[in-house]
Amino acid sequence: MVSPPKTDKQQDWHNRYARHIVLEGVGESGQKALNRASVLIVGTGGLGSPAAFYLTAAGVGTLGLVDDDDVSLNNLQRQLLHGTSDIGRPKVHSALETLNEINPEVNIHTYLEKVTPEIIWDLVSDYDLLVDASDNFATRFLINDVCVQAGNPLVFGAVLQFSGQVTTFTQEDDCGCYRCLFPEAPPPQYVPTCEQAGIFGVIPGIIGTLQAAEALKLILGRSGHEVGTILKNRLLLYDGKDSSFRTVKLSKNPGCPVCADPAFNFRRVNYHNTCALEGSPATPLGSQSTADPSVAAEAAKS
Amino acid sequence: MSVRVEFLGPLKQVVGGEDIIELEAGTIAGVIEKLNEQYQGVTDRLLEPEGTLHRHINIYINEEDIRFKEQLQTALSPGDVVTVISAIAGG
Ligand SMILES: [Zn+2]
Repeated sequence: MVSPPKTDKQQDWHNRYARHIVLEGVGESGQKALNRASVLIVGTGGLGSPAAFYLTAAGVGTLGLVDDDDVSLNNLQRQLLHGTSDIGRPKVHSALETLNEINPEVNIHTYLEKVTPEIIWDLVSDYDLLVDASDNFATRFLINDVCVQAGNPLVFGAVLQFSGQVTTFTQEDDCGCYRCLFPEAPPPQYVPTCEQAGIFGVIPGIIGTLQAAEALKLILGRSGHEVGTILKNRLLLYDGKDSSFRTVKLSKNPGCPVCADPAFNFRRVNYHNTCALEGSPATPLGSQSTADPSVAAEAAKS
Repeated sequence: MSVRVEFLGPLKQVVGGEDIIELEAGTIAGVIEKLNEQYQGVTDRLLEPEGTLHRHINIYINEEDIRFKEQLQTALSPGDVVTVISAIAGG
């Protein structure tokens, strides 16, 4: 039997993804799984840039980008989606142009919106998984809480100065969440922002790329492809000062007020403060909140 | 009981930028006490006024989170590696 000749489109598909198709663990079916997948990236800055680049190049079917920020000159040291001529434009617009050039087959949706609980809640159901590439604690707790409630896997990444952290919350029963790792946002005097404390430009490149790897492996793993293990219940720590990676265990907290409570509702959380849960009793780790209520909203424009 | 203590990321400044500190201590509370003698302000950076760990700080003994062990009273064995990290949010 002679198979029918391939159309130009099929040939282009085989050619564009040839290195995936030939790769054990991905192959044609894995590539098709990637082409069917949808990923929402919150933030198109330092972490969102490499994450979006690699997910687009890999041919993820649909990519959503949420960011209400404009490109500024001090972003360009690390936020590679944007160029000098983009200064003053919305980041999602320059991101769209850059990514369309990388792979026009990816369906990219841009949301020029401030991250609010309701917007994230509305969007999560349209996407298979989320990548947290945001830049402040309030948004990170919000994304975590909404993803737990909606059941969407979440790839977490964060950076500061020379260091970075990555993990994947699968939302399976045995998997912890960000609240299991850190129950509440720290008072602002304790943890500086990238704006205050600086960020070595390549660090978000490394961490955002690891987030893309986690997202791709999660999609492939869930469609039955053998691509090893992801960072489920493990926190990967990168220290750029001593050029080392370490992993530590992330345990599900059986008393977690978010992922261990079926009645948890993100609408009852005040994301403008320390992201503390209303009426939540002080735990043995209890910290009194000294945070200025206005802080979360202003937090960490890195 | 000699253990190795590592502060990662922005917390490194708490111990004067040291990568690895070797010291003798039997528990995590003992580690913090020893460090506080050597580096001013360690206790304040890691603990609440009432002596519990700040919620944005995690301490691991050989990859195990002490919150899921005996907290600050978790016992140490010779050669243990203690890793101290802070929540960070930059992106
Ligand atoms: Zn949890």
